[in-house]
Amino acid sequence: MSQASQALLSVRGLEMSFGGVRAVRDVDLDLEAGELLCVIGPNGAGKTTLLNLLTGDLKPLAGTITFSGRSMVGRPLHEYARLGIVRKFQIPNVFKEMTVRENLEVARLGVSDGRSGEGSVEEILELIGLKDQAEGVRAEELAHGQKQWLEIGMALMCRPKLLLLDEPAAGMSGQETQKLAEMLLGWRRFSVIVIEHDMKFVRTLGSRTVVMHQGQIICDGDFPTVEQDPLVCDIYLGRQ
Amino acid sequence: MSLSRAVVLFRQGPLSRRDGAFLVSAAGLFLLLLLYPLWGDSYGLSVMRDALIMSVFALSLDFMWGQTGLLSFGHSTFFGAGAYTMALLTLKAGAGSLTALLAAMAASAVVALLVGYFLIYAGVRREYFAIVTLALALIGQQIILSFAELTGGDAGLIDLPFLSFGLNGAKFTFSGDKPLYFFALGLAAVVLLGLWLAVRGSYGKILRAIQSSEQRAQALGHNAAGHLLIAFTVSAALAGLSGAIFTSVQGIVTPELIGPILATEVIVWVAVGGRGSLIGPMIGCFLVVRMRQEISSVSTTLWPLILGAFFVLVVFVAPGGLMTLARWLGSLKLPGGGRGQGAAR
Repeated sequence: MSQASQALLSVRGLEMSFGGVRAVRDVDLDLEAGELLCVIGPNGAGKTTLLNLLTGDLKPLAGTITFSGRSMVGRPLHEYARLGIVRKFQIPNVFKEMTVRENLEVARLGVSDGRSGEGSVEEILELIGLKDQAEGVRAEELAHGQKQWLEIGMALMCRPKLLLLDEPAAGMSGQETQKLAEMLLGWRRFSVIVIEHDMKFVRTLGSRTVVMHQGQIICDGDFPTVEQDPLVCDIYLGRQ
Repeated sequence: MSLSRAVVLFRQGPLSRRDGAFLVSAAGLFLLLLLYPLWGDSYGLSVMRDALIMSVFALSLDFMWGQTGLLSFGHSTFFGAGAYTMALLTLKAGAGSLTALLAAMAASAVVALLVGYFLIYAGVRREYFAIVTLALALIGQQIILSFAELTGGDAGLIDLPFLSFGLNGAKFTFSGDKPLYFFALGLAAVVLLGLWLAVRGSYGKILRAIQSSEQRAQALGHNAAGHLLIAFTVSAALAGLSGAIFTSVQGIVTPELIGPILATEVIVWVAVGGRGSLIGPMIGCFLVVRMRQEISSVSTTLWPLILGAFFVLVVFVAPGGLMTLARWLGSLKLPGGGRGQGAAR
């Protein structure tokens, strides 16, 4: 119990079903402040469902989610971001008719009164490499990888305590993926949960990794340990 | 919403090129309308006066539909609620114009707040929202007909008093062609300017973001349902204001003012003018109201056919409305490398 009370995020007995399919089964998970966690697993393992439960997009059938000492289940969706849980969707979800700068400004207005951190739009534009596209380019005109960066930038504008990234490297070039990995490893001000299929990317991160299969967590540990686990090899990674 | 947050949301930044285009268009339009009494006859003035009041109704729908994407297909409910509140209070309760106007706006706002709360927080969106609000207009009209002793039923209520406001002991009564025309012009200008100022800053961006992706907006901390409900309520209050003034100016209120035909017409005005542009729906309203007057003077049965044909034509030629056509024309390069006036972006 002491571990749960110290954790930034504490999940206990989480359950979710769609019809007769149990997408998430009795999941327990703790995450410390500043920790980077990768969630991997085959398609249909329940990774995105778990993320949707953590962000309030889905309401669990059973179980508890405690974040910064607050119970999260049943709260309105917008409160999650205001309390510090911010996500990037699997398919880039940006305001496509708005410019890059407007997207970032709207993101900032969601969690603050807009006065603090006036300079942060410029900083984020620099960080995500979209400074040249800030004005006059609508978000829908960006390439897929650029939309991924924009959405990451929007999430960062919310000054998250917990950032949830669903397949952030999809559609990015090798160079961009490397840049993203360096950024993720450099962030220690907030916790990050990354769902990813790209094992090379997960290996680069080399952080704590959780493996899901049929809605359950079947392995939890450092990536070097996880990739040696016989069950994980059988189910997901394969044997060399 | 805290005061500091409200200040940030409605803070006015520097003018963009798009803002400049809007101001030039609005100034040109209102200058023309200001000068219209110099050559317009009495009949023309009364037509344009009605069009100006109705343009406030069009603006109220554009604020909701244009900015948030939610189409209120029964917006005449709020126009009619304002009209009947005004008529009943001034005629039967002897209330002053200002009190009745405020009450009319409040009545429309309360109806929208109650209905909107259950619809918006229940997640009713898109065509479902349109259909339910259309049903609201039908229900509203039936209520008016059912309480005939109070509302006058089919015949409505007549002999409503003129708009009259007191200031420092002096009393200003608006009657006659020109005073009523300029009153309507001032009202339209104030509402247009107020809505434009409200949506050109951060608040407008949030509404457009919700329109683009409500899920994304919520995931960034925006209370999307709350914003939609406020927009719906404000929009209804403005519709109620226009209904109240329209009925006072006409001196009569009838069930048509709350029914589905007017609800459809206002959608045509907004769609023809260009949803979301504010000034477009005003122009759409002037155009359609003027056309109706001209064609109805020839044949009353011809009008619905021509309106339908005109609407289809606009949808084919400029699906985004006349304002997008104007922007497109303005963005065409003129001989010599210059650009036409009115290019927005």
